Amino acid sequence: MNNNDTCCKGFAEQIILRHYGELDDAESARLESHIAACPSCRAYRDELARTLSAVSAYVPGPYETRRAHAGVMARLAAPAPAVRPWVRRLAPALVLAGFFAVAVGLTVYNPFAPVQKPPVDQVLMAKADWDSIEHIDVINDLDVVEAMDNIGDMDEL
Amino acid sequence: MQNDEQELITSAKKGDTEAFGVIVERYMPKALAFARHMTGNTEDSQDLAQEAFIRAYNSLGSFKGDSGFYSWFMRILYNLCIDHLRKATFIKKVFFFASARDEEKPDDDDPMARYADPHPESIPDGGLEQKELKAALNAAIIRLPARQRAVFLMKHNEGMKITEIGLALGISEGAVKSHLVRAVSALKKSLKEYGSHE
Repeated sequence: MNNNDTCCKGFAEQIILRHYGELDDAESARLESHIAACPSCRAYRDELARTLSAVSAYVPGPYETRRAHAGVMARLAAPAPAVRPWVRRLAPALVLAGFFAVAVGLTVYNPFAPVQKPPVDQVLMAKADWDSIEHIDVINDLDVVEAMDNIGDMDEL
Repeated sequence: MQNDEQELITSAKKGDTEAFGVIVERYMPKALAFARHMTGNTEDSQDLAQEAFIRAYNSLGSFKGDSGFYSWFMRILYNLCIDHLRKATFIKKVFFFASARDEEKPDDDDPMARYADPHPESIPDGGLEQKELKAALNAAIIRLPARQRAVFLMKHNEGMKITEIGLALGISEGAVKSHLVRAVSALKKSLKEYGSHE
């Protein structure tokens, strides 16, 4: 493998087009005279020719070709399908829209998500607090407050 | 052949499917090869080539004969291939299966040997090396951007003129030349890299 990946500026395109016979006579003659005097462009041209000669076209087998031909002829022989109503034509888009709607709905409100239950000790503490609140005797507690003589203390503050 | 083709097209326009069948028979191998090179997949190339011929038949009324039938047909096939590649790329991107470039890799069960010389025994010296080289080059063709690949295939494999390729792809002659030069340069570079790995 040569290292001939460069040639004079502007000549790569000319060499490639010349390879495919897409240069007119005047351009070809100008290119040839340059290549005759330029070793790097000559090497580039030779390397290019080697590369492109190794490119081979895919050749479909006879069975593959016959199958494709038969497929076309069968479809041509079949009666033309009736024009589908707009609902059927839009069916794929509608299905897709429905899918996204369900996905968004499940993201926002997911009935299948596991319910977060508080730990047992927290539940027991909350129940104890509730019981104590239920059993507060308001009248007795007021008596206690009066007995504490907090008013005097408040004045000092 | 050109007059013959014109007569066949005229008959096909009148609904003669047998006449169109002759055209299909004539161009099917080229259509299959082009679609195979574009998609890298044999089954897809079958579907795309068949669909292109069906669409061509249904659109024959719009074929004025300004360009050759083959250029006109290749435009249909190229557009189908591009649509197919876009859809495949979109699906892969949506589902995160693989990068878009993976789509363009050939089938695992359809090795690049399928591209190789139909008569490999005719290569007496260095046959294996030559086959590997061809496989590397064809893998490099698959990696080319779609439009460069199409231009290269139409020029190198089909031998179409620059003007015909421009008509088929709907681009200017200058753009065709630019794509061709880029494609060939990329192939040359990939072959150089292949050589350095050897």
